Amino acid sequence: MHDVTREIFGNIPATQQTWFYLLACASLLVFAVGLLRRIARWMSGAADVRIVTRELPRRIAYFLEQVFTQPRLRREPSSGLMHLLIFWGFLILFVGTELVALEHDTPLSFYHGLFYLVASLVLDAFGILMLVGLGIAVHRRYVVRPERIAGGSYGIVLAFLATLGVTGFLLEGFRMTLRGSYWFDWSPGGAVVAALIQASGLDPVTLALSHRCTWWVHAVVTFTFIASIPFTRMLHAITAPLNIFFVPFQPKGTLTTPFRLEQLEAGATLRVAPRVLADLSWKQRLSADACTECGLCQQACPAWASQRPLSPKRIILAVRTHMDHAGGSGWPTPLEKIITPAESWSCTTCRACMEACPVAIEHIDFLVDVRRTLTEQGRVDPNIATTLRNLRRTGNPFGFPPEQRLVWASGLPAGVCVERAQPGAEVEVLYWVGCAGAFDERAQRVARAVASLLSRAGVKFAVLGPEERCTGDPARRLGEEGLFQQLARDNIATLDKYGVRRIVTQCPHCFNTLKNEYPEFGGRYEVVHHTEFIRTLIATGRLSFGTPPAQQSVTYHDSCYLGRHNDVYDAPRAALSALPGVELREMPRHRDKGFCCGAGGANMWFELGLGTKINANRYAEALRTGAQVIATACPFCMTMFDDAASGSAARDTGEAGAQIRDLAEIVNEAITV
Amino acid sequence: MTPQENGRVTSELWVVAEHSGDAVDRVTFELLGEARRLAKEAGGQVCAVALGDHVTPLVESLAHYGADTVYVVEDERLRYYDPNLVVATVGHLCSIRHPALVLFAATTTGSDTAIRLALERQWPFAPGCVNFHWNDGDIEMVRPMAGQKLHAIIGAARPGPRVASVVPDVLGFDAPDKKRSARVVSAEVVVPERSRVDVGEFIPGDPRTLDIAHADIVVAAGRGMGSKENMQLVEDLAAVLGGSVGGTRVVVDLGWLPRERQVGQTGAVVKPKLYVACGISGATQHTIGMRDAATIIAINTDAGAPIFKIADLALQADVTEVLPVLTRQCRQAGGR
Repeated sequence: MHDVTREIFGNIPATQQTWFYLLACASLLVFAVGLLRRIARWMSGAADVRIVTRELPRRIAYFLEQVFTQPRLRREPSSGLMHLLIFWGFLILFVGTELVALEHDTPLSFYHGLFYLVASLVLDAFGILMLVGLGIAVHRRYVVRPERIAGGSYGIVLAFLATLGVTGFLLEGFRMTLRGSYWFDWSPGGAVVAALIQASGLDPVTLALSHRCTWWVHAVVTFTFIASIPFTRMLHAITAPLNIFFVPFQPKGTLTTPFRLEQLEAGATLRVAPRVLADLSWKQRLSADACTECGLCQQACPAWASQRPLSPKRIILAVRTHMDHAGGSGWPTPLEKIITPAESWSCTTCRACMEACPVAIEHIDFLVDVRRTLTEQGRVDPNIATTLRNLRRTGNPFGFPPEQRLVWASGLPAGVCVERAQPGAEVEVLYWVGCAGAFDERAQRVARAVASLLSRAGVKFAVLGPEERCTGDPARRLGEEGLFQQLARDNIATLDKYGVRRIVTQCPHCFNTLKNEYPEFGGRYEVVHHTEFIRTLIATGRLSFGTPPAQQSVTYHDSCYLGRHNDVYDAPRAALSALPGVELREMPRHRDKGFCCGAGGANMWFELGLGTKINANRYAEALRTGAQVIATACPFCMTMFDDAASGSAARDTGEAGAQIRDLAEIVNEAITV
Repeated sequence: MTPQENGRVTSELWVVAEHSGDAVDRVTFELLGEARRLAKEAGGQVCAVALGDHVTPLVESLAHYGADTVYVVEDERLRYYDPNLVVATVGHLCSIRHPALVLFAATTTGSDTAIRLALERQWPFAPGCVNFHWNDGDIEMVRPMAGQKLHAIIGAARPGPRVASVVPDVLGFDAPDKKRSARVVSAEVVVPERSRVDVGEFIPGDPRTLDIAHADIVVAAGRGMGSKENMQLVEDLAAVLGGSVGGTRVVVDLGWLPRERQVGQTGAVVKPKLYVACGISGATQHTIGMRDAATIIAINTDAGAPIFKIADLALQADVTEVLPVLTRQCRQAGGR
């Protein structure tokens, strides 16, 4: 039995082989120049202090997982499968081609025997998978045409890949017909094509000529494709993995820190945010080049869903388009001309876009950067100005006098006592009430529920009372970084004065800022949200429940700052499920796909006045579950649901709405004493 | 040149009061507080200047917030703002008393008077100040510049009272001292020989189109109105009372009122003399925008509605029944 292998450059004369190598070199040269120009444009960007080389093993592991299994893409099953097929098909065919090159152009010799047979089978299989993937892609892009991929420029990329796949199989078929092969079983795709060619009854001369022509088409298309990569959307095959590799490993709920107050006080001249295109960091530039235009961000965006003038996809593409057309002019275009003020204020910082983005682009940072410039220049809505002034003067966004911070505690049930923190006094936890809990009449009731259940579970806790100030979340998300840092500094000083180690918060925004953003400023505490703490109290048997008066169905609404920003999905559900008589129902959009209430990113404090109501959309979704109770875990979600319920048409027709209650209230009511 | 050196300036620190006829505006309390602080640091008297057709009742609160002396100028011609009279009268008083500092609120009228006065007398002037401090016996005025990124410290290069306007809502003020009283000095209005401004007619704003933040009476609607048709009941009462119509966010979201009529956290903050809350439950997001109203009347069917906690008069009733009766009685009592 002769050695099993394949012929390389069969039927191709030597002169034509030379042309082949010349073309290959030209193609690689164009590719390299195009890519280097891109790299140069990233490298001329500002530094990004978040991205450091430490944690390299974790970085590599994350990179491998994201690139080879694509979990983010698989969140959307149909397009995820399509991309996996094309990706793996292309990757395996690329490797296979390189193996042939190694066999032919190096002294190595391995492409024969069993190895060759297995490789043949694998390559054929993945070639077919790639073509199937491309078929799905064409169907989606030109027949189904989902809104999110509208305007994408993938036609040329799909055409290249499809041509390569089809001519590849044609070549295999010709080769098998011309030279014969006993190993048809190992090349099923080629075998089918070969059978068709034989059935066509072409004479050997025509056959040889057809093979050579197809071979050249395949070769020229391959080299054109390679050369074109830096200039088409195929570039994402390089930029997307790069952007994923350089993902900043920081807690998800943090924003960038453009400056430190200490620098300002030391007299440094600081830039509050990137103001023009040239100010964008290398990471932001790379991100914009990494965007695949898949539109998953747009599809997840509550602002887009409510016809606000914001598509996270558009802003990233706008940055890229401006970079493409800016030339060597020094890039003086103001960022706000690229990402408009209306777009930046439309964002609720709910993180749905970032969670959806398969290539880890950080949309929120782009949008907040624009807010920072607008706020610095005082170009804000009067309600935003009022909120910031209130924060500055009273330490809370409502503008209530700070000495009224304990008003909520009047009217507590007998036996429940709220104590102020004392230096040196040992408490199990510090209860961070938050501005809503302290001042908002509805959230005050939640605060009383939290205090009651802590007390009934025998938890010794204290509050800061008048010394508590806003954590700075709204200030930071409105773009007032300096005010945020001042508030953080004041709160950290107060917390440290009382030796606080463990904090339970009522509000997910306080929770996120205390937990994720304070460590950078020296405030390191163990911070848990009330839902997590309640879950622990139930699990450890410190809270017990009796027989409920009636069954109740509950649907839980994920707060963005508890869920997507902090991955707290299970604790609230576990706490609710532990209550006797509670039947938990999920909304279609839940957990990491939860839909924002509309108040995040300081949208609580101003009225955009554009688009439809985000909260009405979410309230309707909650009602469709048929649940009697909508459980929230955030005072702002609560307000948004209350408003939506109050504004709903069902209210007048007497149709059954749903009760809107904080998880702490539901739990507190179920406790047996 | 310090105020002492030029030999004519006394240590009086003046605040020209802004008032709405029967109550002193908050900004004047802020100015009095600032003058009080300056007086405490380096001595001197805090004096308020009250001009109007009937300002004597204001003396008490001016004293409570820090005035040692109140210059009262009462004249029928001062009923409405006339820059000719105000500038001439304040200027004349200054030329007699030689105050070290004359503070105006940086409001429409306050800024107008301040600029005219300083220009006419060629006195040192700083607009839009946020702070003042003593430096070697002289008063320096601090004002923000370049979008609040810089602060300019303004000294005086010429003699005469330092004239400044102060941005409202920046300084804040302390609780009043109810035990304080002030010396009252009456003065006559001064009519200048030459008028720079011809004051024609004063036309009252139409409450229906007036910026709700400036309305004296607001009749506000909540979700409890039940339907857009019932909004007519609110309109009717507002028309009889000569008030403006406002509403909650939900009412605006429902399209019952235009966005600029929204009162609350994400709308307007109003401080009217009378606020009639119709079918409003009183969520904090709403009450934040109206809790400083002098008198609050709330009508709601729910006895537990939080609005009743801040209402001066609480009516547990159906708005659709109460409003027509209320409107009729107000009309009979001589409303519009």
